[in-house]
Amino acid sequence: MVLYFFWTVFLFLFTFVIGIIAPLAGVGGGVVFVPLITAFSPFNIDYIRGVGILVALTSALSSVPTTVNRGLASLKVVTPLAIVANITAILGSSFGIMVSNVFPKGKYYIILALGVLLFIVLAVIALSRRVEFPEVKKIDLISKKLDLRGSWYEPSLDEVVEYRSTNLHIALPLFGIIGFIAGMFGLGAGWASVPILNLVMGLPIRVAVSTSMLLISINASAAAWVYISRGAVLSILVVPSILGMTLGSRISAILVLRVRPRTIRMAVIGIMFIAAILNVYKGFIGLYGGG
Amino acid sequence: MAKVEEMDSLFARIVKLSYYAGLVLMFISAVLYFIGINQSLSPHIIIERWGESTTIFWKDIDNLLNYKYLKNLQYSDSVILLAVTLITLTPLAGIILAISRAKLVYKILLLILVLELIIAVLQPLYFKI
Repeated sequence: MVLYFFWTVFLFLFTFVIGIIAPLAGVGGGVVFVPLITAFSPFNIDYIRGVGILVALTSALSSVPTTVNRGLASLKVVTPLAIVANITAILGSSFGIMVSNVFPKGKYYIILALGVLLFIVLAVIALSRRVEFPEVKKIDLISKKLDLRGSWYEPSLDEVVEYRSTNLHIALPLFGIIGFIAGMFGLGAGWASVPILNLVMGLPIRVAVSTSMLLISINASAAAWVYISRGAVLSILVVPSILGMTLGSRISAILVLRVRPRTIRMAVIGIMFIAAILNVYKGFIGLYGGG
Repeated sequence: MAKVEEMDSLFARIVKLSYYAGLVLMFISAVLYFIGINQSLSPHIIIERWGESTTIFWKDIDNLLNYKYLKNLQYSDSVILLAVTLITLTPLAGIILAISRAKLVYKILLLILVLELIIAVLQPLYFKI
């Protein structure tokens, strides 16, 4: 029972800290939660992914009402992307659960793949640039027909900024891939969707981040059912994680103007790098370590 | 001021309501669960099996599998899962209500999205892994 209470309290404190520092570092909660808990906890990866997808869902849901009401995210832009990403997210979560349950060493394949994916995440974070107000020169036909545009009041400029989105035909297949990865590993995958929304679809960075959160809320809600129905959502993991993440995100929103994001960002990237190495190591030992 | 579409503001309102309702329900049922009232799955079993895959974990117990927790709401951990269900259904509820305020092309796209989300809820019951 001591073990039980230790993990309940630990998960609450851990997700509380992630809830504070992950948004300040510019990454989502899921991408920090899943690899670190996989590396350091005794839980099977099925339950970690089940909770990871719910952590991503709740942290997205806590910000969505505010950003949507401010015009920073809209169903207009998100709906076509969500239609594609939902299908692949369901396939991804079913595939992930199948691999870890059907193959004798399936969970180690997932852990190894998660470690490799984390290196890719770190590369994307390090290499992708962010354009505050991208210039959209040409609008593709589908985006024009769907009238993918909006506006929001930007306090730093003291004016209403209008934006348009483009290249939907390029973005759709990319979001198909993102949906699969998100479902399979129990991540929100904002690290992948923000650069595509910003650099490919031409959305201003603030709109891209908010749109990504709205998309994650829909996408994760589709992927989560596979985990819920398969019993991959245990009370001991889900309750402290969701409550910790919700409280942490609230504090993060207050702290965002008072701290130096660069230092925190470097610290989070460092921790994720260690988690990536540990997951690759754990996966290899599980598969080839003679166990 | 920025112009926010009617479908978006309605969606945001529903999300806020449903999400907070889910959180409150989760908090109350979690307090009951963690002080040991009406647990369907004892902490001892969880500790014994939390390293196993879901197939092995639920081999001889299935009272929470495949949404069966909805039929066992006398247990505090079933109510926790009901709260999780409510939170997970939040975007779907918001989208369903937003359809009424959407333009025709978005009515169609949102209907497709609703259909997908309903399939997502039901598919684990029909496609067993």
